Amino acid sequence: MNSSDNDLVKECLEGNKKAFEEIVERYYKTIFRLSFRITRNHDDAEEITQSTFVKAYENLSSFNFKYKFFSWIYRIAVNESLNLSKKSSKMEQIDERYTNDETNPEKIFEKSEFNNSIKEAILQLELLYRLPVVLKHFFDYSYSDLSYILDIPEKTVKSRLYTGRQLLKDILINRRDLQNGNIR
Amino acid sequence: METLDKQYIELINKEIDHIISPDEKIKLDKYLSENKFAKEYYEELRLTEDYLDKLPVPAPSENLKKQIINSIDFSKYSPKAHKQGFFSTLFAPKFKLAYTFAVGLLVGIICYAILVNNSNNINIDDIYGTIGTTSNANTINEFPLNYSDISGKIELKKYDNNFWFNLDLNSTQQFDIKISFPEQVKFSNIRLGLAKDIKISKGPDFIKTTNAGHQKYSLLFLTETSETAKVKMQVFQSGSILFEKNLVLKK
Repeated sequence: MNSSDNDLVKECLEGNKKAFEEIVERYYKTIFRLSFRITRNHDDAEEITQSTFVKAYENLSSFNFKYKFFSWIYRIAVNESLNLSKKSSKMEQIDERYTNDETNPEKIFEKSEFNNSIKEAILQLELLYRLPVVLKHFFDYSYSDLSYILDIPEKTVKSRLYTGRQLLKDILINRRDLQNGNIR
Repeated sequence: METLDKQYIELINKEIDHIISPDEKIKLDKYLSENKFAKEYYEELRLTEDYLDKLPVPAPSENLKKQIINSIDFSKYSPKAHKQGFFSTLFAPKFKLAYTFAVGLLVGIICYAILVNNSNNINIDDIYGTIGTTSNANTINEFPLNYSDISGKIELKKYDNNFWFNLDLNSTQQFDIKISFPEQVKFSNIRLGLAKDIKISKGPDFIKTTNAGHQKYSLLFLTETSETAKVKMQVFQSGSILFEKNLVLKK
């Protein structure tokens, strides 16, 4: 039977290295995906994932068991993403290397164009709005969870989420992607 | 430019987030059916959301997990540190005040003990009349004195580098007691308990008392060496020596 996250945290605090390795196994892919969706950069996402677990381990003794562990570690990941974005402009570049999964050259081009439009639109969104949009869309968190992860009131979560969605839509329209058939 | 009612923007977002209630859903559907601009807004938002799903996400590097594990210093919550729970608890910051107090108390006790041990001024009141009862004093020697009309006893006691003679003597005629001592021994004090009309004379290496009647007193000395020191006691009467005894003192 699998141990709960909280049990694993307790075991870690008692010096069980394997317990933390289990936590890494459970969450590193999700943290990576989250980081990638925020940064759209493979290397940055890996860097954020690594630093998230290092920070999580260092601060494990301060983890409050009344919260969900994954919310706590996602919160760290979001903060690490924000920190990286502050000190690096790499996030504004688009990583092309990992997006093509088609074998048909025509489709690759078509899909690549489309993907780039969406990615660029996401990257045009300020992090302020990008974070709630990404977290809500890809992880389907409740507003309450988002409030904890982003460390902002629930009302602000809603406001930023709604505004972020609208901005993303408007960016895409302004790029005429919605009208010229790339998306529709 | 057309604008949307704020309450319907919220309902559209709730619909997208799948948290809209049945009543709200009916209300939204009615609004969208009557408002072309709102309907378009909703569909564009939905479409944007749908296409977000289609954005590919790469897989992390194969060695990412290993990199993460290798970058963590696992000593922070090492089993060793936790097995020493008793000691961890013992030296926990919350006990800092208690330890400070205990250390202060200990230092105080040590200082007091040093002061007491080094004290050259023993309270004579504790010496005279408490023969054999001073807890830390040792009786080095005790002997009777029965010569001519002199009777009584002399007791030599010691405490650290202090030693003293307790004299309890009776005599109808006058007699002298002379105590000679080496350089490292100093005469310190005399406690005149029941002593009356005692004449005292002293030099750098001796002290002499002239006694008559019932006399009870103490003569206190200090020794300044850890080596043994020889002290000589002599009893004279009418110019003749009645008694002589050598006593060895050691700090």
